[in-house]
Amino acid sequence: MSSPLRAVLSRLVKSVAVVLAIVLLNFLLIRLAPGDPASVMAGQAGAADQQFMDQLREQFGLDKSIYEQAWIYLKGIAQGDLGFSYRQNTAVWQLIAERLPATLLLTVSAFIFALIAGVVMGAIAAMNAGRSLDFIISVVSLVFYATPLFWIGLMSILLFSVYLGWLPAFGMMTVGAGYTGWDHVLDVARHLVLPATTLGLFYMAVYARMTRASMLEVRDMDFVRTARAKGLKSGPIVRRHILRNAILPIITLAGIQAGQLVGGAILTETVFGWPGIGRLAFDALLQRDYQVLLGVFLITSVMVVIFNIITDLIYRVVDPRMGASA
Amino acid sequence: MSDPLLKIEKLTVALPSAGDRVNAVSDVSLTLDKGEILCIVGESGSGKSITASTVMGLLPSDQLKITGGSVTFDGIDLLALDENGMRKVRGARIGMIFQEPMTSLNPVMKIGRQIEEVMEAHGIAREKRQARAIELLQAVGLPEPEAIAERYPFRLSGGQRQRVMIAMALALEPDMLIADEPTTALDVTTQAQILKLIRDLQRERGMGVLFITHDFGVVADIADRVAVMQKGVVVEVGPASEVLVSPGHPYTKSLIDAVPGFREQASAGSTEAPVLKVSGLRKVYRTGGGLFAVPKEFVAVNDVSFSIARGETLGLVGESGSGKSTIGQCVMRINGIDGGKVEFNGSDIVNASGAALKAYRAQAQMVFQDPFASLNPRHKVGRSIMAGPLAHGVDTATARSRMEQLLKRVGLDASAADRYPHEFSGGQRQRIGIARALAVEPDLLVADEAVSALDVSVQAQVLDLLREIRDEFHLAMLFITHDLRVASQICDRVIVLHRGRIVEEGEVTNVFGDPQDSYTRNLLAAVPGQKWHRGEQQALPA
Repeated sequence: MSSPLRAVLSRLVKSVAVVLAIVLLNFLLIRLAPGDPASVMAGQAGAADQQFMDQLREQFGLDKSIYEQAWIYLKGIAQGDLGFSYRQNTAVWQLIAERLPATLLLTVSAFIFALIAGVVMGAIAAMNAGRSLDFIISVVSLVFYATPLFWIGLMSILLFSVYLGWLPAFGMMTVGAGYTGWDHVLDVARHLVLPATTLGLFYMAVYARMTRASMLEVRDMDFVRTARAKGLKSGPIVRRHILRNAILPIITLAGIQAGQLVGGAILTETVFGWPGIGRLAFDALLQRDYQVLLGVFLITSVMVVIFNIITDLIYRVVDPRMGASA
Repeated sequence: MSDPLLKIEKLTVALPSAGDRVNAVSDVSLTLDKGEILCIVGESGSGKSITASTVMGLLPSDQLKITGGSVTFDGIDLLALDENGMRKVRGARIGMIFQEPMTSLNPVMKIGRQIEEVMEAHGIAREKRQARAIELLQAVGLPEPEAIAERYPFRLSGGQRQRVMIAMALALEPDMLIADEPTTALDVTTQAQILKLIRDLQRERGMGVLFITHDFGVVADIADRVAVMQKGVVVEVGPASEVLVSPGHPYTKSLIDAVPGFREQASAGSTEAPVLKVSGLRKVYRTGGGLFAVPKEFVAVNDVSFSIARGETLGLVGESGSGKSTIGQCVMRINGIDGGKVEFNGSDIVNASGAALKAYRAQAQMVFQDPFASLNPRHKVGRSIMAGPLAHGVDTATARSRMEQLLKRVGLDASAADRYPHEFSGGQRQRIGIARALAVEPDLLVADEAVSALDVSVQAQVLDLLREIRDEFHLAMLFITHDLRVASQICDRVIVLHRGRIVEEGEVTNVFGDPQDSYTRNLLAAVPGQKWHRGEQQALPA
């Protein structure tokens, strides 16, 4: 078996174990919180008598012991069954499948924006270290880093939607417009701009700071001096030698954050009314809709694992030393 | 006579105001002719590398400013060139190689590509580059040049990487090569090969070579002329044969006197019972491994046995990867072992734990190679020295008075206790390291390359100190070094290691004077400056 293939396989096996452990842990943790779906539903129905609640509990399987419930849940997962939301009367898998594309669109756009803008800004700052441009970039990234996401979101809605009227503030598409084809794509894109940049700005700031620090470190390395001694122009020195090596830790960081982005979109989705997984989780939490919540947790942890494997593979390509030592 | 290839006149480079002197280099004047090798020799901080970097236009301009003088290369005033003009000289007309081959190549770019880059930067057509890169790899003596060109640097050894650096520097047939300590980081046999390669290529191509080194042995082997630098000033220039044999300046003389040579008189040795006994030691390193991968095994030490008595110094010599440092770590119980026995005063060390291990930690101490990295930079020196005794239950007053005594004993002022490591020079820090090791009153001292990072004059002093304290404190000493000359100076007996095995051992003057094993003979033959050491280098008739 070739070495990269073996590495991926070994990662996959480990990952399945990790995901199972996460699912089990989440399952048990959630039950630590007081209240259950039955009490919430009974409360909302205005019929909180013991008999009705017992009935609900029996119907949902909540009367069994917690370990038994966990076992039933795990068995379901193994068969690809994420459970059923009694609140929404729909299979959890279906709920997630409806919402996942929106979240992926949002987070992937935000991620790509953050990565490109962050690395470019960081590189510019590093190459102008100590000058005013470096200072401006540092201050801007610090501001985005320090400001809470929801605040940036609200302020950008105020500025770009309310005052300037440039971009829509809410939702994923114009309701009732019935756009099709290219118009639909453009409509979604216009709706995407604000939430994606809002979500991306924080990460952009992180990448800009990291890229700057990493490049300044690489800049003083021996092989950069060699590159200068070869008579290379500054362009190739920065691109091929400094940035190419400085990017390695950024890839590691980006891999970790790419997974988190899926879970981290809850606030942004709530602020912008984006119909994604984040809002699904938020609502499920308030309603004690365990199955949905667990399903979301499962999907996000699977995402983290997938992104980690992708990062590993990318890393093997960009750093030839990796394949050899493993 | 025609103009020299390189003419440095009254060059002065200022240090930042916080430096310990005003100029890094002052009033330096040197010339280099075509087809000549000029060695600039000096200790750390002498300004030799700064002089070379100035010629190449590679000074960090934010820290070091050229305040006077001129550098003329083949009629071009280099200091007057702008960045673009200088760029056209670099790589094309002047090639340069550096000290650290392990870090001087871009780790994520293929070897062939890195060589082609020089040609690309100077406008050689794409079609010609690849063939030329292969040709160059062949010219510097690398096997399978096509395969090497496709490899990344981490696959190559230090010597191979330095050959790649040379290939890169010579890609455009420059008129001059600047070599900044190119062999310092290499093993002695590799060093000999690289020196020969540089000399051969220089003769073949008629290049001028500016060769920076701290090692007079290397100077003796390679230089036509020598310039000796001290604290930024050239104190002596002349033909190698003259400067080496009859130095005119007292500083040159003191440097040459400090160069360790091979001792001819056998030491008395020790007749006591051994304190440390190692038998059949084996250490295997395993890397990789996992769910689907079988770990790779590397036998670092294989069936090594020796013993040391009090008052005796045993040397472990060998090249990198020979297992000498691993043995030191096994003896210190920094590393576990995979076979054999380590006994100290008759009791087993390998499986010692609890109180027995703690007692051993006080009895065996180590002096490390890097005096900069081995002291906690945030602890005052006194605290570092007292930490050991305090951990072993000595009361503060006793520990303090012993610490002060030790500082004085290693040649430092007692006030050093209240200062931080960065306030000391490398040699002083190594003295602190020795005081730290002695603080717990050990019976065994393991010195791992303890003088390798030091300048030659400081090295001689620290070696003297180690010898004195061994006798004074009646210590057994395990002295690990790659430098056969240093080993010859301080050791009573020596073990020659090759790939984890003992190839030869015995009384040091016997082993080095009449080596039996071919590996030992190769090692000895590679030591630079042999003829000079034996006094065979004659002054040329004036």
